[in-house]
Amino acid sequence: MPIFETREGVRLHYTDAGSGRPALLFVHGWSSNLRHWEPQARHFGRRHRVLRVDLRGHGRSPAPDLPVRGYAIARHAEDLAALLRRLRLRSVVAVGHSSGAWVSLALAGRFPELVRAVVAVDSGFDPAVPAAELEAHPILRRFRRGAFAEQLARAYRGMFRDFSDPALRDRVVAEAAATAPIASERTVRANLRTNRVALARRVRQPVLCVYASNSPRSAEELRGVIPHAQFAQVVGAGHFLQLEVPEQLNPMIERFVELLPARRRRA
Amino acid sequence: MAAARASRPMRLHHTDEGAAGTGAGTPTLVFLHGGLRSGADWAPQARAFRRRHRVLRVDLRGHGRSPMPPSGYGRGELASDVAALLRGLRLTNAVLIAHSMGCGVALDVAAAEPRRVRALALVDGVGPRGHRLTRRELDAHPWVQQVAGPDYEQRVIALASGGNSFTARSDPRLVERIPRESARTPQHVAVASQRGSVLGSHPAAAWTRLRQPILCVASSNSRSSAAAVRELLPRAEFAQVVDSGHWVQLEAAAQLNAMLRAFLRGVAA
Repeated sequence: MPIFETREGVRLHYTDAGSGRPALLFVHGWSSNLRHWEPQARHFGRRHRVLRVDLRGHGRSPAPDLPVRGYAIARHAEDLAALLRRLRLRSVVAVGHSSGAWVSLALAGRFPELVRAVVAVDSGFDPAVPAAELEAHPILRRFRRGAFAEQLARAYRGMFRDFSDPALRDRVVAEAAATAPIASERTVRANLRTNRVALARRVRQPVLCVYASNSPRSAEELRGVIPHAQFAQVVGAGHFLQLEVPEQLNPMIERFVELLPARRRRA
Repeated sequence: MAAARASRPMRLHHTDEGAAGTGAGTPTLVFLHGGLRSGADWAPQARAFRRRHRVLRVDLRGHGRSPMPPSGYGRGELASDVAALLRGLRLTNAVLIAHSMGCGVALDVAAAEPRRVRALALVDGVGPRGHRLTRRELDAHPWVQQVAGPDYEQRVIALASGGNSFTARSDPRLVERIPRESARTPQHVAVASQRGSVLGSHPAAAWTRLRQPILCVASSNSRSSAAAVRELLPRAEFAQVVDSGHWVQLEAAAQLNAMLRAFLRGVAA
């Protein structure tokens, strides 16, 4: 499994398999890792080049002891841009789950030549939490209540539904709880401090947002953030729909990618 | 309700295929098409589900190969035919899967025969609640006017091509085929069917009391939403496919079939 080192010395573990355009870049969410895209890597690897990355401090990428801003959405996006440039890849379709969707949209907004379209999987768009209210945020309050790994596991368990496969749930929860606390806590703080509405509004590329079956998000709300985005929703799955119902999500992504408008030719 | 006061039911043409020997718990899937269409619209689903389920594709009256009376195309009459079919086949474990105008019919059948209908999956046919119309308003409704009067064939083709029928990226073969096929429907059926579609947004009070699991799947063009659907059907689950016009079962079969499988798993659990 390859490791890429950025100019700052941040080391990123990633996988790169398959061939065929557009290349698909899968970006996991908070305290998750690239293994949580396995059903997609298998499915799309047959016809596309598929990249999966462990964001800095996640999965098998080491966690540098950087301040909160070192784990900002923009830093994660810059890491991905550097990796894509090293691999000489442009015009990828970035598929991000949860906060990985914010990283994908930040990448698309800031480096438009690198990203042809974005798929956001079960990701909402909220403004920055004001600094004065940050410590009172439920996620951060939860982490003051007890051992970090235990609280993280609890938060993660709540992302699954009563009908979710318990073995799958336990595996994902255990992997999340093993995330380096530095990376996990600083990433969540950085996420909350970021205006994710503004970040999404900068994106001009086609966007598909797919939601879990119990999501309170609506097409109307989405249109207020990204007017050109397409809204979709699956049946019978919680937050980790890419693992719970890949047989629904994969054909959705496939159709979206197949029908992407032809790229404009550059002079 | 509406179904109970309807005229004598008609025997409907239907295909009946698939797993005859499945376990008693495996539901029979009964597919109902939309206005100006026929059971043939569900071919991709019949292929996908007939190995595990008994699959019935019904032609509603006036459509496909079913009888075509001069009148009697209200939602209640269409539903009473389907209810009679379920009784005749002694089905007690049916999942009704309906498209467009067929969705209101399916809901009426479920209300009339609650013990025969275990669940409903409604594809692009449940929109925001309409307001009640007088007979005159109904006749003047644009959906009805679109198929009334001369130049009928041109009008149906325009109807089945326009609005939310297709997306800019729909398969051109489908964009050509569906309106052409729809124009073969006799005009009196089309007018009645369009009236039925308008009335489909007038919920029967009985719908809100349905106890069965209900899934509403919207096309990607649809302005429907979980909130709009729950105004009519408080317990319904909402889902929406990617890049598909109104004929989701043909344009986005892979997505819809996976959704139906997930829904059926939940129904069986």
